[in-house]
Amino acid sequence: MKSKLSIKNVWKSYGSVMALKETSLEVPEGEFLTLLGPSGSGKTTLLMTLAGLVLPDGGEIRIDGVLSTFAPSHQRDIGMVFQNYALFPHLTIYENIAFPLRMRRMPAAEIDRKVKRILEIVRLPHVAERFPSELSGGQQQRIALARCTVYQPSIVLMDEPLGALDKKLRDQMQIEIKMLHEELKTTILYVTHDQEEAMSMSDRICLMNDGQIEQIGTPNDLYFEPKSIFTALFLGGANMFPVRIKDQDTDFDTYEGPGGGMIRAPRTNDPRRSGTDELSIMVRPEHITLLRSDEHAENAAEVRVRNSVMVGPVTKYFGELADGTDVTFTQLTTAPTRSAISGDTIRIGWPAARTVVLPGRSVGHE
Amino acid sequence: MSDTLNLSRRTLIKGAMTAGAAGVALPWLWRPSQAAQTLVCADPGGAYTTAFKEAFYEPFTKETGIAVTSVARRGYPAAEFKAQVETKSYNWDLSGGISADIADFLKKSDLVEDLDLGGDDVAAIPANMKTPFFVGNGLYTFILAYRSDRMKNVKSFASLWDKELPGGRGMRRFARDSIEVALRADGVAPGDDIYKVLSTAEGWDRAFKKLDEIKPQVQVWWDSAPQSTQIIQTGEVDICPMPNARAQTAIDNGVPVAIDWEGGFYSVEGWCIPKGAPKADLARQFVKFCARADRQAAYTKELSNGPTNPGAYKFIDEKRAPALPSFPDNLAKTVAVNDAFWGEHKAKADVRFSEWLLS
Amino acid sequence: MSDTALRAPLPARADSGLRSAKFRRLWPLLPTSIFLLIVFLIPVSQLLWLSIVDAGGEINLDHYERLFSTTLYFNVLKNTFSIALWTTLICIVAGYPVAYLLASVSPASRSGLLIWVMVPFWTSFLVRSFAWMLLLGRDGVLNQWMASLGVIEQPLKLMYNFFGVMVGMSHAMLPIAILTMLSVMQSINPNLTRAASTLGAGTSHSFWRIYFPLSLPGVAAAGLLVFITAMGFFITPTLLGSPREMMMAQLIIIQIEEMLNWGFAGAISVMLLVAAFSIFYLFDRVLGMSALTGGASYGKSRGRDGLLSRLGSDIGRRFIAGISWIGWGIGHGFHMLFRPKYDRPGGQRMTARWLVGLAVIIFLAVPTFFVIPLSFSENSFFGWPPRGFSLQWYEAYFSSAIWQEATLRSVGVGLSTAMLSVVLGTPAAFFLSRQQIAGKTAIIAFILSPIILPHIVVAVALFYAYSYVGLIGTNIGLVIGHTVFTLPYVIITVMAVLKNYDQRLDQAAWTLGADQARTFRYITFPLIRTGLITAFLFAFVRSFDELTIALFVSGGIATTLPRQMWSEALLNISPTLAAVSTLMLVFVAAIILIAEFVGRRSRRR
Repeated sequence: MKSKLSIKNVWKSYGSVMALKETSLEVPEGEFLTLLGPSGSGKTTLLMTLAGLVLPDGGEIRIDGVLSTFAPSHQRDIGMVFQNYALFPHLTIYENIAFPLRMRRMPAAEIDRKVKRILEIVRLPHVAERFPSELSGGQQQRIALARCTVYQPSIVLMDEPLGALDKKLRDQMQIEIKMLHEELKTTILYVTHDQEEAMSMSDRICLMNDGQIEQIGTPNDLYFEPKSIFTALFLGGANMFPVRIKDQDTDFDTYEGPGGGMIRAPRTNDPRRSGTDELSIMVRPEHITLLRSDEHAENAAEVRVRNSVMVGPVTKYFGELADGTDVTFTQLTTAPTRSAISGDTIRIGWPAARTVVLPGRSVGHE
Repeated sequence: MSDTLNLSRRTLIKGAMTAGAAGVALPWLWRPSQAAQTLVCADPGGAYTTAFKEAFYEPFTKETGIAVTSVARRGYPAAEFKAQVETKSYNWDLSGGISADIADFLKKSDLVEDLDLGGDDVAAIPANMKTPFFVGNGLYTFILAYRSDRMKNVKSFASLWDKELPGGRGMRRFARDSIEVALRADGVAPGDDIYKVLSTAEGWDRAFKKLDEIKPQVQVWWDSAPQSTQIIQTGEVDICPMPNARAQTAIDNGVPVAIDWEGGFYSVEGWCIPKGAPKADLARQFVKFCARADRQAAYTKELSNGPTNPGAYKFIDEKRAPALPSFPDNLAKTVAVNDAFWGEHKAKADVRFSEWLLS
Repeated sequence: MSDTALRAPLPARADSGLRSAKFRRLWPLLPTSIFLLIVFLIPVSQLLWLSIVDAGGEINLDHYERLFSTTLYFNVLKNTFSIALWTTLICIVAGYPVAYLLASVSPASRSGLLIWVMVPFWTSFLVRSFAWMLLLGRDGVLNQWMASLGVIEQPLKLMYNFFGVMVGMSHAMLPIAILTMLSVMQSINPNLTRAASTLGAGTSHSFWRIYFPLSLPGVAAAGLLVFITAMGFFITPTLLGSPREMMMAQLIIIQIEEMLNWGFAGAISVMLLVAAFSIFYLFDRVLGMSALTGGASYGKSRGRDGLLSRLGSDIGRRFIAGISWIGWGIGHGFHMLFRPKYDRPGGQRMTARWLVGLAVIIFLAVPTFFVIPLSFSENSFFGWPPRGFSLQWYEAYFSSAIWQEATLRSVGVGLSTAMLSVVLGTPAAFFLSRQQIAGKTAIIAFILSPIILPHIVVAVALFYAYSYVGLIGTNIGLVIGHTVFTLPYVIITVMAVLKNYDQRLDQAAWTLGADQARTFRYITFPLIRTGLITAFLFAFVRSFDELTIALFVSGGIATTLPRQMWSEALLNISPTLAAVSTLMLVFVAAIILIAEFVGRRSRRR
């Protein structure tokens, strides 16, 4: 696929603060890419350099192959949705949406046609003559979307567009944006700090941390095969056990876990994993199963259950290993297996294939 | 009817203001009231205060033990007189530096006490420099000042109109002085003739016709007093009628400015007591004191106004004397302004002059 | 509260409950109203009343007949309007780029630049005017330079004409215009122009179609303030202008001081007031009063459908659209001429802004640069160039008890005035910016009226009123008199700030258990502190530079610094005035820098 957006070694600093370290990124046409990360991770800075609202200190940005590192925003053929929508308060909804078309000197009839059509698409044809302050938050959001897509820019940038909406509305808007993306087939760069939002919407997620890209890949890649503790923890609940390598086999390596228990994980050829390296094992809570007394698993451990929480379809269990290491796991609420009760000591297990070995140790218990 | 209305309004203001003020009153905010044996004298401030203090206030205190406090007033004190007399609350007991024309005007508005002073010193002052309600202590003359480095052959006010003389002209933005100057330049003899001419409508037209001639040449129509000194000092104008003291200031500052006394017209300034002032008698005593020759001489040290008591020249430095308006040589070249005439015609003259300026 | 009262079973009690609730709602307006009623409305009305009664107390319209018996008063009114209008236009056109620059630079550069913008405020108007005389005179610095460069052969007439008046007046009014526009510009969401840019609008388009229309409320507010203030001016036009630039205030002063014809002075004042209120009314009809307070609310005021307002908004829209296109055209043409390249970081936008902004700031600061060297001159008069070096003028200041006393009093009166104005005005500003009540426009007009009237009218009225209660010559008299004039500025400034204040923060504090007082203390005050400080400074500066009230009300006893300067200048404008101005500048700059330093440190902590 042809690269719509290509970023090479772009960096930006504010005084002594390195907001964005040298970053490179390729975005193919039609992709929905999410820039995910905690605040201060550089995701918004990256987005702003793409929008031309912040000029990078170095590097190269190409849009559709055209070098646009320092081009002004209005010559980049991009659309952008801002955090608080940035609807022009002195223009009506109609004029807000018509604005980019007028800037492109379209004939009035065509402007009218396009504005009406996009208002239909966002299901707000009746608000055309109102002012932004007369709309609800959700409506404003849709108008902002309409405004930045009406002229079919080659890339749409979205800066935490759903941050101000309540949960229900947000879920609904996520689907609408996704649908709009499929319908218009635009390339979207989406900034958020909400990993669920990122996973539910994106083709690929670019996880940022400390001014650089931590890991980039599909939601599945990031969730199930994180390359770092940071990625593992940021994408969702994770059990993290400090381990040392014990034995290397053809298919599996064996590690010594907390309290001396052995843990097996898929064999890797990572040369860093020598005996002295600090390593961690990550297991997602949903991969852990409760074992009956006669049952076996590739990896198993005894856990004392502290408490459990039923959150609809699944129930979350919080417990600890013999040496006090925290363990979390989930079971389908309707699962036929026996359920654990607080204070019980039970056996749990998980497959070696679902065991991920990561470099480093997690700081504290997250 | 209107009296009661007035009264109730007064009471209301008074009550409300006292209440409001009392709430926030702090020692710093409220001035302690005056001691009994003091006299409060208003003067125009600045150099006047310095001169008066040295010549009148301090010597008077030394002699009588009565302290004199100086307060600065507006250049035109009539409004202050009126407010004090009408509200019967007096901030000062008398005021100095009041022009005779203003004194006349104040008398007409019934705002000043009669003085009726006896004694040799007051008697020595020429009759046209005092009235029953006013005693002059200084003369100031409206003269023609010019830059001696840039202008030669200046002869009286007519030179202003002389097209042969190059240089920027200045005039005062004031009906009386401009009309007086214009008629002189038009050949009317200073003094009574001027007022004879102005007794007819044609005479007024004549004055304004003469002013029409010079209007395009006037670079600056000065308005506030210090401005006249400034424009001749900085060379903005080269020739300009102004009070002699203003020109003298420029000369004292080392600027080559000369004064042409010929045809100049003088006014007297002096003392008035607001009508009904509780310490009027004390004030009269002070006015009498100020008429003394030695006091008047001391007063001219700081200001180049001329003493009204001719005896004062016995005490004045010989070099200083020729710069003063009442120095006999100067006095001979100048005449007094007819304050009564101008008092009567001021309103009319001002409107016509303003209209003329705007046209 | 009123809700429960309304639902109470007994109608009588419900009624009184409602009434008391209404009253409670109105209380913030009371301090200002009562203050202005007592020290402004009643005394001034008394004076104006004289214009329609004769000596016997009978109604008599002779004064008004006289007003129209000659063309003088009408012509001068026309003059006054045209001078005020041109001053307003110049201040807005020249002030806008500066405000725009200030709004777009970092806070640190902003406070640095603000010192220079405020410079005209800190030099007495007298010194300012004389400094301009040195610059613009026939033998002035400007003419000398141009002659030596060979640009001109004959000196140009730069002063004692309309040009000179415009220089002096716009120099005096620009800081107000800039600060007022700045307060609105700072409230414009920067994302809006960014959004326009991403939507394809070039620099010109996004400025003229988005930023500019959004900044118009500030322009309107600045315009009105400048216009109204300029109408009461008279000293600058007399010093720098010709008699053609005669102002209404001068005529009023002549009647009050020289003719003692207070009735006729009242009639002229009424003429000026009526004219001013007509302008004010038109302004309200066409632009809406909300523009004054720094935020037109779009879409929410469609109830007002007067013919005038529709006409006005229609004309206004076309006008704005017209300006937008012209501005865009110029910007576009510029762009075509100097086609910028995008292979390196751009910055040409800011460069233009800096150039224009700095030019105006230099204009504001220039007279000061002439005042400072003069204060060290050996010349004994205010003339250029300065000769030699001498500290005698500073010595004169520091060795004079009168100067020190006047300085101390001016500072004390200024601080008290500013404090009183902020204390009285803030609740009123809260009320006016948040409550919708009938007659709001009338209330704002009433609050603004002290600015329109020449100070002398108020001064005489106050002098008259003060005489009854012994306030003449007291510092409190000065403070009260100054507050009459500073209160309107404070209220307008605070209202503009409150426009941007999210009231939900207060509500949050209430729900968290804070009462009104503590909410103000811990939440509202810290958030609007900058605005209050600006208002405080405005009030302080106006009081510090005030002369007319001081001349009357001080009774000559309590001398203030401007009063002392005026009196010092009576016979001679001496370099002492330059020395005092220089000291004031140094003092103020030091305070601002210290405040900045302390502020920065506390922010860092």
